[in-house]
Amino acid sequence: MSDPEDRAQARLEPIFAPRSVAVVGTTRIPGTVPFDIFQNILKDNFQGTIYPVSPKERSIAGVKAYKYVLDIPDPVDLAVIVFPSSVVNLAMEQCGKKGIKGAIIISAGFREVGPAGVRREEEIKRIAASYGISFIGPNCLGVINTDPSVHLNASFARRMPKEGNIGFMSQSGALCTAVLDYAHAKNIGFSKFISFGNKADVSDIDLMMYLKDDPATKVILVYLEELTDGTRFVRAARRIIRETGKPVLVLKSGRTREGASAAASHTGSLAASDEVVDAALHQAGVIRCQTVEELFNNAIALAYQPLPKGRRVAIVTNAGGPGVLTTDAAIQEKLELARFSESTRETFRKSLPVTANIMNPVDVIGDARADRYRVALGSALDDDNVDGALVILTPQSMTDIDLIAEEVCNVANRSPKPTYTSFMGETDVASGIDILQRRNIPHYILPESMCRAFARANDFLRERDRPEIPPVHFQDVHPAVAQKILSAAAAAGRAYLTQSDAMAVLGAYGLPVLPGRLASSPEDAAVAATQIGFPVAMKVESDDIVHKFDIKGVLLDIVSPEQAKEAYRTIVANAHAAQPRANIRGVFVQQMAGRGEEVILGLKRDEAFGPVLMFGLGGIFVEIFRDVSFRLAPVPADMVRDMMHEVRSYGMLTGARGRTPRDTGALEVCLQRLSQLAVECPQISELDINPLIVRNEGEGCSVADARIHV
Amino acid sequence: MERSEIQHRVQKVVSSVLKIDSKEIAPQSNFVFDLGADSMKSVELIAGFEEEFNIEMDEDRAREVQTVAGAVDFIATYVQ
Amino acid sequence: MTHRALSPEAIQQLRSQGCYAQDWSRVLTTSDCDLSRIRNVVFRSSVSVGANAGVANVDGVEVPCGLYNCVLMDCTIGENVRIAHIGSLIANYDIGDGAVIQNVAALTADAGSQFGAGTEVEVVNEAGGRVVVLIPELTAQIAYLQAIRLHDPAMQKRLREAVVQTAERCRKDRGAVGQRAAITHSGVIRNVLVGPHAHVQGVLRLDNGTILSVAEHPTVVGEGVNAKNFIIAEGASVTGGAMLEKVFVGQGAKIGKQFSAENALFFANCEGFHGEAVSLFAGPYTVTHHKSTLLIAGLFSFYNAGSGTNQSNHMYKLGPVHQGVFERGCKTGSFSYVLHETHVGAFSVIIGKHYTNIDTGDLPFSYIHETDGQSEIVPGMNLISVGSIRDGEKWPKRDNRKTTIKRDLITFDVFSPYVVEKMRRGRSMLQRLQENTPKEKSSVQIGGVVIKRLLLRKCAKYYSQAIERYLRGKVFDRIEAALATAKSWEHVRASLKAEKGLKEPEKWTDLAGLLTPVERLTSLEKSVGNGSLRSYEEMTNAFAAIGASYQKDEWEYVTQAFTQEYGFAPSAMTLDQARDCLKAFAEASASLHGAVFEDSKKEYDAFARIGYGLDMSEEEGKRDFETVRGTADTNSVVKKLASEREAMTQRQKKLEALLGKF
Repeated sequence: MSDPEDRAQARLEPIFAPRSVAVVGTTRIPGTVPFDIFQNILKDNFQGTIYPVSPKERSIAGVKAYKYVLDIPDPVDLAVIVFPSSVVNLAMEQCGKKGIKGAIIISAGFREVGPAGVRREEEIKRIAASYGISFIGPNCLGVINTDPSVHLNASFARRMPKEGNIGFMSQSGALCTAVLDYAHAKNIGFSKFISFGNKADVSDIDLMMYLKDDPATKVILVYLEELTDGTRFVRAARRIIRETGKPVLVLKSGRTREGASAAASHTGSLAASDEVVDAALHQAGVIRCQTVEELFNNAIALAYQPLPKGRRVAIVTNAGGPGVLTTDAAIQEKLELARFSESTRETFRKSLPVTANIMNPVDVIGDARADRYRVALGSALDDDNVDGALVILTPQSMTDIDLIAEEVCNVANRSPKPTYTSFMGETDVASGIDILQRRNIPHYILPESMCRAFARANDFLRERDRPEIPPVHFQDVHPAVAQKILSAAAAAGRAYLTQSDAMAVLGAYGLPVLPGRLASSPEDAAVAATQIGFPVAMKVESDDIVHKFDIKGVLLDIVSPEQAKEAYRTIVANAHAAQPRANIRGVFVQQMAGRGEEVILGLKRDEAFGPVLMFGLGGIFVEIFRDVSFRLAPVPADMVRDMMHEVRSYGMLTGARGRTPRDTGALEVCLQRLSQLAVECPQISELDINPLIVRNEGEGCSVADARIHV
Repeated sequence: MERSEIQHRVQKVVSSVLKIDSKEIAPQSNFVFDLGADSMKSVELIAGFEEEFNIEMDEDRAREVQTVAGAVDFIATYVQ
Repeated sequence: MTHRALSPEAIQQLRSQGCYAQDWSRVLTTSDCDLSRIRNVVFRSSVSVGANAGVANVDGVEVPCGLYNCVLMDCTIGENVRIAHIGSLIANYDIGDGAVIQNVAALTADAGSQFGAGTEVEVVNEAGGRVVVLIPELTAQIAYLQAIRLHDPAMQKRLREAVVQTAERCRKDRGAVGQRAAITHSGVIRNVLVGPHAHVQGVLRLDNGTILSVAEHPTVVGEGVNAKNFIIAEGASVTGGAMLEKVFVGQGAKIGKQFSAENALFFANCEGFHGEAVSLFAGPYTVTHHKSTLLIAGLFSFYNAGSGTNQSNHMYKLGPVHQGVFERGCKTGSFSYVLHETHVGAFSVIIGKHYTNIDTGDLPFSYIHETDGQSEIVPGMNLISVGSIRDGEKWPKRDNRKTTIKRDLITFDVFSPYVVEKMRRGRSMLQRLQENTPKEKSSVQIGGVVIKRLLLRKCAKYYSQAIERYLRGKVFDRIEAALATAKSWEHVRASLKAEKGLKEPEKWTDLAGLLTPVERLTSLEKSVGNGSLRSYEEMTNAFAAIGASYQKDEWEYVTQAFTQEYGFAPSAMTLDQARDCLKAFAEASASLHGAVFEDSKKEYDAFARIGYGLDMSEEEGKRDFETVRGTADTNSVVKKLASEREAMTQRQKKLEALLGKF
């Protein structure tokens, strides 16, 4: 089965590893993009042959220039097109005729400028397709490949980064230049650096799949401005992580869609696009970062050092204060301070001064030189109780920083366990930090970032190695029943299902609904209540009323037929008073749920990601604290549990502080069933089960109220 | 004015502004792609046409002209 | 809290804590001073110490206040101060409450020092003659008077007196470190006043200077900085090994990354990274970010230097006597080079290397480039490039100054009487040349550069369109405002009258960022010269008054120029004329806007690219990535232009409708 994504390698080979490049549309004027790109390829030591193509010039920077691509006598692998957008189609045509299979279109003036640009872009897509050309762009900064056998800087970034094992891709050109400068200052290298612009042909997902199979790339960094095809993205990321173990890190600014406020349900309004993105990425195993700094703090840990197999850290420091700070930060990040074995402590006792602290953190004291660091770090890493080391250094008058840095690198590189460092201060430690960076030992200005990176690296390991558990598939369901109801609603042009219908759909998937029916008069209500059995709850039935409780349209604990009749009248009166124009079809009479904890379950169909499940504790927890969790459906079985535990107020259900434990097992099953429903009923756009009453352990749960929007 | 005359005079202007031999200027020549005109030269070409034909061109639309033949057609709308 | 002499027990305690005093009777403390926090301190001469029970934060670590490992001579120490690990000594300083001084080689002041004030900075002409005397309250306008307006000796004499007098007031017997200032990990600091909340960290050496600072906008002086004879204003940031000698750094300015400057003034919001500056008068928003960039012997403002920008000011045998003026809004492309004497018109772009003296003051918005070794100008080309328009919006947004008092007065308008009148003169020049140049000549000389004959008429037309758009636009702004409430066309017309306040409303000047009619400047100069403006404060207030009359003066210019251009005064306009006017305005705007829009798509083009900052520097890039929203992207610029076009059309319709009311 050949996924188009699997052909990424072959398609993109001419772009990333060309043996010859034609720069099409280059000029002679320094400071112009066409010239600068040509210059960059030339001066940054491209290992292949370069052919400038210029209608007017006979040579550019001393290299013979050709008037047309077709005039080039030799085969050409890659065309970098820098002509104005109005003539890129002519250039593409020639490239096609020439047999060039890869292109990078730098020029702007396409989709991003409006309808005329869209037409231009469609045309070049057509031409490219007809000749089998794969192209990146248009409107991009270009591509960099640091592999020494290629060494291509086909971009107008001012500087070529050093070689490394981090692959970076971004839609925004502006960010790319800033990232290159940041990385340069920190001695961070890249394998591939890609600005991909309008994605008219090669998409971000194609590029990710390329990096997946690129042996030079160990960690993949993506800057996302928008996620249009979220499901594909998530699937690609998951494949990468599962098949190759390469971490995928995403930098995405949090932006909430304005439309979220006009949502039709609780879930709709809570599932603002950014929270869903967060959940989706998390579920895929992607590490999401909020800033460039955070992105690289994590990247260097993942790229340079082995992943920590556990969370037990050994802290080696030469000053008490920073050691304490680091300890605090470690605890904050849910790391553990390792307990050294007796033999490790014995080694410390023998080799470190009497005043040194040999418990964790190991304080080698302010006058420590390289030898003490060597012993402390080496023994700590050798200790079976230690998963990784955090090395702190503060400059004191006797500290030979460079030597210590070298020694730390030596010891760290001999160990299969990770070592991270934080040399504190600025000027004095600069040369030491330089050594660490050059020798690929992760360094952090702050102990907090160091601990956070360690925690994330371990999180990633656990995520990567977590067995894939499929979602539970229930056989005892009646999809046809649900489909019939949904089709009927669609045919009748309804936006909402009635309560009866909603309960029926949920019931079809085995969710524990309470018996109930619609009553159309007070007398009918009394009959219904008697049939169902007291006590009952009665709720106004109207498409126009969303917040039944707020308008006093719900009455509970009705224990007699008389009360039922009275309740009917009251409810209808209240509803009319609150919303005179609402169309009230009656009152829904339902068995009381019994006492228990109220939780909210929700479903929303997201444009980018498809069905999204939501869970939270009801009432103020969701209304005020917005304490909810999200997952994309279908939700794997173990993730359902995660979803529940993630909610901060989850303790309310498990028996915290003397409360009775509730039936979380039954709750879990409800979520799983809802997940299946979400997948099998694509007609449902939003769904709220609010509340689901979770009774005591062993007593199950019940759907007290539901709203389904189609 | 006959189209052939317009064509001839257009070619003259192009040759003079872009400093290329008339021989290399064909009707289907694209100003940017074949003749290497940049934004500065485009302004000069427009000025050259305006002077040669003693007309005042709508610059917005003039900027959309891509080929020599296109220029001939565009100028024709002013002189005929 | 009064300071008292120490009791014998106290002295014993201090002694046991490693302290020593030449004369213990001259060591005074308050009663709430915790003596256990005074360790290994040598007291020389008189020292008084305040309460010290608090904590300070150094390098992110909380440490106790107090005095540790230092030698103090003739110092007063405020409350909750931390002084620790001083290399040689702190002498003759008043240390404010909450200040931190740690790991500093030495901090000393000589009695009678002026702390940088009074330093004579030789700008614009490297050989001398244009001297600006530094004072902490220096403004761009006062500096401009000092440096550029040398024709009036009486004024210069009084001005200098006032400035020198102000500088004299800075002479003190003692140095000071302001409240909550922090000086850490630094070398020798001598004769430097450090303002409140300032961060001085890792400096190599500071000698004879003042660091102004306020809580709202703390000033930063950072690693490796080596500065001598300087004043750094509030909110400025000087870091990254910068080397400064006889330099003024204005409010919100940023200097860093090994920038080196000598005899240079940087006013509000300037930026200097990686390059060099000599004899430079950098008015507000002068920006130079790139390596190998030199700004020498020049006057700049709202300027951007491409990498490798260079100028030469040398004259064979006579030495470095030449100077250059780059009017506001200019940009020089990568590795561009000009030969002083230079006078480049406003909002012009210079690309390439020029071995001729450029004198194009009356040709603003021009591209000056070189072809085959020949310097060529395309006047007005920058009117249709998207860059200058974006800049006009960018500057006010990037006003970095957070202090209440913003010293440099700045007129941000891209289109102003100043520049529009230049365009009118430039247009006449081009038209005259056009008439007088035979067709056979393909190009003509103008201002030291060459212009293609074909372009003379076209460029004059670009200027015309811009002039028209400005004048008609301003008139319509007023009409629009009046239409909202006017009962009749008469009412509207009445609002278009201009008060006659100026004799020559068309003569304007740019005072390092402040635009004003020349006669207001000369009037001010006269007042200085005859002593009616005596003190420095009076002079700066007079400039503020000038600034305040900008709108009025602008309107007076507009009415006069409008009358000259179209044959009737705005206040005499009939309704029909108004309608025609609106139509003409819309056409001119649309045409220029259309050109800019086209230009914005050609980002690859040299001029367009430099024009809208695609030639982005690290700092600009960083600014954008900090918000991770990539606002400098071409896409957002283009979208903005598209929506502007729409807005323009809407406004036109609305105005037509309003006119229809009458």
